[in-house]
Amino acid sequence: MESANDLVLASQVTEGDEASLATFYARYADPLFAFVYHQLDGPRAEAEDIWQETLLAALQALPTYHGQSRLFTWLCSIAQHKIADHFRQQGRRATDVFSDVPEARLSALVSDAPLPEEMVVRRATRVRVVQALAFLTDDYRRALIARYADERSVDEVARMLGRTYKAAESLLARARDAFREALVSLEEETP
Amino acid sequence: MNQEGHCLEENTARLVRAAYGPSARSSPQASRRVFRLMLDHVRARPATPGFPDAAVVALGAMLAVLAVCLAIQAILSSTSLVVNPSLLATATWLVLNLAWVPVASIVVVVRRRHG
Repeated sequence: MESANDLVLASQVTEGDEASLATFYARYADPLFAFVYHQLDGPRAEAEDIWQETLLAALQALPTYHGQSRLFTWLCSIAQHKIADHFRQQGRRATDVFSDVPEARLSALVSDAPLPEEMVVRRATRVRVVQALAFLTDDYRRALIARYADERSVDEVARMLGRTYKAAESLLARARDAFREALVSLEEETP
Repeated sequence: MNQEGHCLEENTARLVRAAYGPSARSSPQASRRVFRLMLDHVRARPATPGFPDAAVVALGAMLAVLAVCLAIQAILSSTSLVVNPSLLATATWLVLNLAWVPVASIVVVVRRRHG
């Protein structure tokens, strides 16, 4: 279903609809930057260059997107190629973030036991979290990022989303569940 | 919130914080610049003329009608195709392909509308 929505958005952008481009950008540009930044594990300036190249390349290639995967997964594969090109130009070998240490079961990341810090800061974990967040609806993602990454109060999240305190609390609870489900679905998608 | 729920929230908070810290976000200047570049790119691109669904179905239907006419003509023709096996194989291959055209055109329209 998500791929169907992605496909509609992609075809509207391809047809030159500027409002759809703004939606596309608002939905995927930030998560894509975070993905590139964690994958690259290098200076921000380099991450910004690769991110820009990826978005422009994606815009060119958008007519070839047929909903074969989620749009964000498709964008990530373009970014991965750009990162590999970048490493090749520098005479370095790209390291697979998932190969150095065995990847923990993603569903275990949001279990009911405290997570070891080593697992939280692992690059592979950060990449997967970014991907899982990108699969959420805009409201869920914005709520989780505002509440936990920006450390805003529930009251501030409520104001930001134009909801009551109670509604924001309930939205956050649903967003956490959706986040856990996104991690599980990501686990099923990855070999 | 019970202990389990609290732990779950705490784990989510730590994961989101680690993945979406300030350094993992583009600067507002870079963000504006890249969006502007994309917008320019979209504006500069010539609009792709659409191929209407009705045209897809009409083309499919037209080919199907032509295939039926061809088949009728072949049946009514006095020359037997069986005498020439290679001609028979070619005709069979052609008819089988043409038979899929209306189905394909409907599939194209359905996939366009429902992904």
